[in-house]
Amino acid sequence: MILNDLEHVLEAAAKGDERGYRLFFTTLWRDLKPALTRLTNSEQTGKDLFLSSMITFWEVFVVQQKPLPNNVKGYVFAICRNGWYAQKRWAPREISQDPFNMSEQFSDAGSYPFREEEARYQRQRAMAIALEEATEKCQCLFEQHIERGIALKDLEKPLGYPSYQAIVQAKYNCKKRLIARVFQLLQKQKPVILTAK
Amino acid sequence: MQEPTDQDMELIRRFLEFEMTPEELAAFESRLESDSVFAQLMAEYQELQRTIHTNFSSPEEEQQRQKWAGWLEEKDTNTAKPIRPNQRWWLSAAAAAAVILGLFVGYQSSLGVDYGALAAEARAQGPELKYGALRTTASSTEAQALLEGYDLLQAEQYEACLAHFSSISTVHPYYDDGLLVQSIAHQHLEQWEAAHNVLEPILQQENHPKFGMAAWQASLIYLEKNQPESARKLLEKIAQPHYRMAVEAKQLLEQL
Repeated sequence: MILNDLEHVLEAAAKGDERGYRLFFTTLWRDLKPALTRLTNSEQTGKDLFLSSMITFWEVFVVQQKPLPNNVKGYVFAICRNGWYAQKRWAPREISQDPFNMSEQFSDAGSYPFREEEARYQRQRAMAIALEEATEKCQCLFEQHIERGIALKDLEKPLGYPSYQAIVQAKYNCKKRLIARVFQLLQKQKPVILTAK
Repeated sequence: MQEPTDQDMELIRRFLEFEMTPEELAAFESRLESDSVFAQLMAEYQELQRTIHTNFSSPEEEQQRQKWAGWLEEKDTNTAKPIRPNQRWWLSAAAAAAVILGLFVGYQSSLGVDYGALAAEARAQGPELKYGALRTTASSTEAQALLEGYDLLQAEQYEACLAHFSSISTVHPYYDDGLLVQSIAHQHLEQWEAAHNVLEPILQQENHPKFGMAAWQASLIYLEKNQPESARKLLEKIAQPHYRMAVEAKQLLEQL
């Protein structure tokens, strides 16, 4: 799809008309599907990678209306491909600190329940700390918009934002800071089970 | 394990949020390949981003994602292309050639290199034909003829696209662009010989303004035909800095 046309399509999508965006989305999937399926040996995995990248795509180019890269298709594919390669190289593996050889009791050594539970607990803990540290406005946004499902346009005035775009940008910034902080905390409290291949 | 630096995290965030230039992207990918710790960071960050997107979505966002997943499923139920009866003689010739090539493919596959997969990947991320400027500035009937053919290609009406260009003369000002579009239509129909033949007039002149794009397409066709050496020769030519697809050509050469 030609860049100029895509910009118009995204503008329309931002205003609620998703017809052009649907065509762009499905055409992009059609074009990338053979390569992603070959890469991952699984059409479903290829779809999951594609959907993940398009969630960010929507947030960056439709919600925040940032300028498009020159080669949209190439960039989406690069995110999918590099995400896949990075995932493959990082997989929970058996560690040497397993004095009771718990992993041998399970057929899949890299994912026995205790370690998964520990990893989940540490993620939740990091999330809780990061939320506590978030600004009041961010906490309010998360609570009202995410937990209670109140639309951003209905929160704009009560929360004192000057425009709809301002509250949209604020939500994006709050999420961005949350991801960065949780990531920092997880690296500090690095669980021993998670190591690179 | 060393804690990630702020710069590392910022690089990863910029990559995942589509903020990198092509040069930065190439450097980032190169680092991912050579630095396993950095690759691990990337994987963890991406996983975390996915988790937060999932857990911190409004009901509206959640519905939207389900809708997108549904779009992919809907498209999948219609992917089977109809088998079209085709009387063109070169299809029979191509079929016969395919039997012979099949033996050659078997040999190549035994070496463990899937050139078709490389071509598909390169096609997915490589340069595209762009006629945005022409669409907004040119009003001549010749320009419209090219754009009509291109629109047929985009609409996946490959045979109609080929039929459209068959009536365009060699003195048409956009004849060479038409050749590129036709080659891509042939490629979509997996008619590799025809796809290559149509590019020959351009490939014979290295100083032709469309040589770069023609050579890029031809190199992908060579890979589909399991002729990596022929692909390599063309890619080496267009890996020169003055070609628009130099970065992609170099990346593909490295994989070959």
